[in-house]
Amino acid sequence: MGEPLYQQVLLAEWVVTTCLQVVVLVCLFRRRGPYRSYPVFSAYLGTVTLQQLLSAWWRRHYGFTSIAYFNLAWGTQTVVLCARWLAVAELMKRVLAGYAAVNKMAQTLLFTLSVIILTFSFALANNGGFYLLISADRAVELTLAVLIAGMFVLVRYYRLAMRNIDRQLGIGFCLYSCAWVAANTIYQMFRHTAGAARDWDFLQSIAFVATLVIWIGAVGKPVEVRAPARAPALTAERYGQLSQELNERLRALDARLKNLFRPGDSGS
Amino acid sequence: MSIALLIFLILIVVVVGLLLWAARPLKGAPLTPDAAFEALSRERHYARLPQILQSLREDDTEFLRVRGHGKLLAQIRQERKRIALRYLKYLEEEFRILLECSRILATMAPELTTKGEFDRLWQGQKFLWNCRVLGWRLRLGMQPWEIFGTLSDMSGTITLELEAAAARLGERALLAADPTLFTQGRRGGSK
Repeated sequence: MGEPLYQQVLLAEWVVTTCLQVVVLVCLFRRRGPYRSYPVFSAYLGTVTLQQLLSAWWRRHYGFTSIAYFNLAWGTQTVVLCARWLAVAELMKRVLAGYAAVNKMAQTLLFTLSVIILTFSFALANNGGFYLLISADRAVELTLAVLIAGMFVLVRYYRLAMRNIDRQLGIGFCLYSCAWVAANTIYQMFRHTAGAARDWDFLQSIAFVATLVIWIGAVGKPVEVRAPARAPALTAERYGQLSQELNERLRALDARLKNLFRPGDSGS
Repeated sequence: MSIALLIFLILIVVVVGLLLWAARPLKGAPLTPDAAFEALSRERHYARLPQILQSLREDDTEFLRVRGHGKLLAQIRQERKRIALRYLKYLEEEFRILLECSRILATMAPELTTKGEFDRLWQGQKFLWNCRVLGWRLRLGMQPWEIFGTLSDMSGTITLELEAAAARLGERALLAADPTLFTQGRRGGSK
């Protein structure tokens, strides 16, 4: 791709991304919009929009390959990443809030998983300088993606009620983080190829556009006023009794099935 | 291409796969706590299977082989296979309801242990796997006829056990939802 054409593509991509971000923000802050329920997510989008405007201005003055632009891009990226973590935490809190025990277990489980993923990602990243930055970014994004996918698995396993807006926001976050990890990895693979940095940047923008489209679908619909039905809480004693009974029945059924494999056994 | 980078790409494919699997809509509405307990205390279809299985025991048809009615014998064996598969299906269905009920209980629980939940998940998967294996063994004609005696013997006891446990479970769930029912029940009993 030639330089003038690339500049045009870059401009078009910037215009599309910014417009979509504004649309999401308008949907969030419209009359009776969901911004009150998602203050951190709204703040995150505001931060991203600000970063977008600031980096465009910086790029115009200093150029895409300048150190000044590099510092600003990665500096603001840290802020945006922190905001995204908080937005994901807000989402998880909203989804699991009504289920005390599942929530508590999910926190322990997902925290352990996060530590493992972070350690694993840093252990695999044996690069220095700029590539260390990319590796760190990838580690954080991969952890985010695993956290969200883990939350979805728990929601499905326990058949928890989940609002459509939460579902779509979660899918958007996860796919975006996955795309970011894939882009970083592919960039590291082909870093010696000409134009790899541009393609990497472009790939991330495409992923962000797709995410914004998903989020518009989520926040653009009328707000679900009625909360999903949730199960009543049981006391620890009552739960213990019921759980024990269920486990006994599950074990009994399993034992019966095992007997089917043994011809001649009466299965009593 | 470095192996580490390849691992990252594989991980991403796994995460996206998990997300797509977990985010797809549920088949049918999830059971509510009331519906789960109600489903447990409902009469099982396979409660009548002991009688059917009893009538199809191998020794009941031994005389057909002795008298040379091979065609009829094959037909009866086919019928037995069909019944055994149906029984397995009901057993699997019952297990699924129990698992569903255990998950509903977990959402109402004050505390859960990760180990306990993993154990239950593992047991559930093992059971369902065993169901499948047995189903295929039956379909493929492996160990085909010996199990009918076992099936016949076990189905009676299992049905009774399940019904009794389901009734107790239903009562407890009802009491958990409304403890005043317990005292009402006692008053009713003393009349």
